Amino acid sequence: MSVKELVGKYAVSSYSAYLLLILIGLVLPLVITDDFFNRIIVLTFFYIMFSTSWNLLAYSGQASLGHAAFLGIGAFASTILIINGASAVVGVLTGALAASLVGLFLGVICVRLKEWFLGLVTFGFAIIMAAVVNESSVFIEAINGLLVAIGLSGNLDPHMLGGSLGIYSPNIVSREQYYYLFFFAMVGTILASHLVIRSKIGFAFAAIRENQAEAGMMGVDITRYKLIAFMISTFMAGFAGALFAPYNYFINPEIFSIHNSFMPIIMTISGGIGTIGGPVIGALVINLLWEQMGLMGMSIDRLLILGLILVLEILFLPRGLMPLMKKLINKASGITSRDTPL
Amino acid sequence: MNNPPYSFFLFLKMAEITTLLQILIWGLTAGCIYVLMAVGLNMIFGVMKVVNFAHGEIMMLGAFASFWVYYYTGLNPYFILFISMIIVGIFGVIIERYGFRKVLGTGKLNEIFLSLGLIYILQNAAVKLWTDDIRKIDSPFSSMTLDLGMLNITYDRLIAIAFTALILICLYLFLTKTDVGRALRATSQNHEAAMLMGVNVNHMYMLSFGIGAALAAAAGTVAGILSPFNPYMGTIPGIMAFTVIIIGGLGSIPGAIIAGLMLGLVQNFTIFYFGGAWKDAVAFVLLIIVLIIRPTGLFGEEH
Repeated sequence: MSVKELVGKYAVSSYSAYLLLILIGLVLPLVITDDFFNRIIVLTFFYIMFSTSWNLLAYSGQASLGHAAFLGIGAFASTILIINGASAVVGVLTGALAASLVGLFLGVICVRLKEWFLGLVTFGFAIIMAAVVNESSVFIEAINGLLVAIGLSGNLDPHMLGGSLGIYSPNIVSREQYYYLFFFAMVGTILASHLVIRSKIGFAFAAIRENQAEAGMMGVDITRYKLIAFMISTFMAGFAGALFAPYNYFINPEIFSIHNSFMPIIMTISGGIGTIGGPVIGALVINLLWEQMGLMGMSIDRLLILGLILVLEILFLPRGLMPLMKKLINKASGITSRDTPL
Repeated sequence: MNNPPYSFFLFLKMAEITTLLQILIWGLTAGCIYVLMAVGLNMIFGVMKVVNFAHGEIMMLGAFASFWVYYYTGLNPYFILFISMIIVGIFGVIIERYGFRKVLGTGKLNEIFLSLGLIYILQNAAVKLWTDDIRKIDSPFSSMTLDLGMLNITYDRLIAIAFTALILICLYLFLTKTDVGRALRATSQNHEAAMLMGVNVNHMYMLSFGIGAALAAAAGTVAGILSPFNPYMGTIPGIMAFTVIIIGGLGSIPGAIIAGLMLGLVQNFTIFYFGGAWKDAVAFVLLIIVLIIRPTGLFGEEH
């Protein structure tokens, strides 16, 4: 088989694989009608968006250890706007933009410094956001306002909302509508990430990640591209947060928790950092594992297991599941080239 | 003629001066915990060029080590502090040997992710083993206070400050007067040159991590004596220690000491004047200001 044929086959199999996945996504709610499973799938979509956002930043060599901050800012900003009368579209986009602006601010501060600083600053920022939100009345109003806006009274145990009980009952937006909303948002996010990574900007990101000094010498404007990465990534995170708040019918300062900052990291590393499919596969696997462990009644254990997974992956599988998957797909499709779909 | 000694502060009332002194003491003790943590972090960073994000969790282990030794032996907690430093120091060496050593040089991000994983493991293993009940190490001096007229200072706070000073002096003597200490400093200045001079750099890595963990254990014990704790105690002091090392300058031990005490004082004055909610926010604002004005920190060099 000639190289040309190989490339042709690869391109066809890659795109048909994408189309097949999208098709499966479209018909899935017709097959799975159970509220509980629907929620798990929607959450998976949400985590795929969130991990994709984190992965894009990591692609430029910058690791945010407090990505929950941008998620939370998106969620709170959009909620505050929506309960004050803004339309849903304006609210969600403004929320994402707010996250993006805060991200730009942090990025500007850290852009010339080493990896550590960005990690330390973002890590601290998320936790301090939680403390500030806990104390400031605007946010408390947002928390209560969201509950009032959807017709639930004030003092509700958040855990009650976690099951299938109160989740879907009073609202106009149905389960399927939320499913498709998240599905298209996820496809859009992945597509955006794909376009960015395959564009000139993406090459600049990769160059900076591999060797910042060399990239600079070759004429890559490091500051500019690092900030672009920050803005796109935090916009995506804010967008995911802004969609998540109304879906969850509940937000509180917990959204800024270390756990929410860790999930995209663990998911992306499990899937394969720096690949487009990595966050998707990682979010799918880790979220299903997480929910399964939850069903088995593990609470502390599942956090412990996540930590173990992360450490073991860093030690033994730093490139995640993607290379393994690629090998399997190659074997199945008979492609010997190293350049592979996904 | 009969000017009282505080006439310099004539615009202040006596009560206000005692309040200020009280805050000063609280700030200094809080600062001491940050200093112990931050000096340890800087030791590790200086030698290995690794930021251990799980330092707060190692501090928590130190508090628990002290608690259990105290629980089973009933010894004086200030003596146990040293036992805890040894136990946790050994634990730190193990973490370095079987964790960080494996990922050294494979990319800075991997080291960061590894320490994130350690946070999850240590914190949740502690909850699993010891539950998240609130515990306290009882000090024999807990009910004793130094009575200075209107000002009461608990002995525990004074001892905490004295112990911090003692530990730092020991560390200083170790680093400057002993061969091992010199080798450690040489490694932190230039580890290839140190290697060429016959320093076993791998041993230095383990040693620096061990010392860093031991200092965190001292901080944890002091924190556990001064206030109740549970396995989640380390998160905020850990972040504050990062803030301190950035403000003081990454890798600079004098910077860590000064910035640590400063942060403790600023936080406690903030609590007094603006309320407890803002104490973490003020640390972050301070951090941002330092990063904007002087990104290398107060005493840092270019890295």
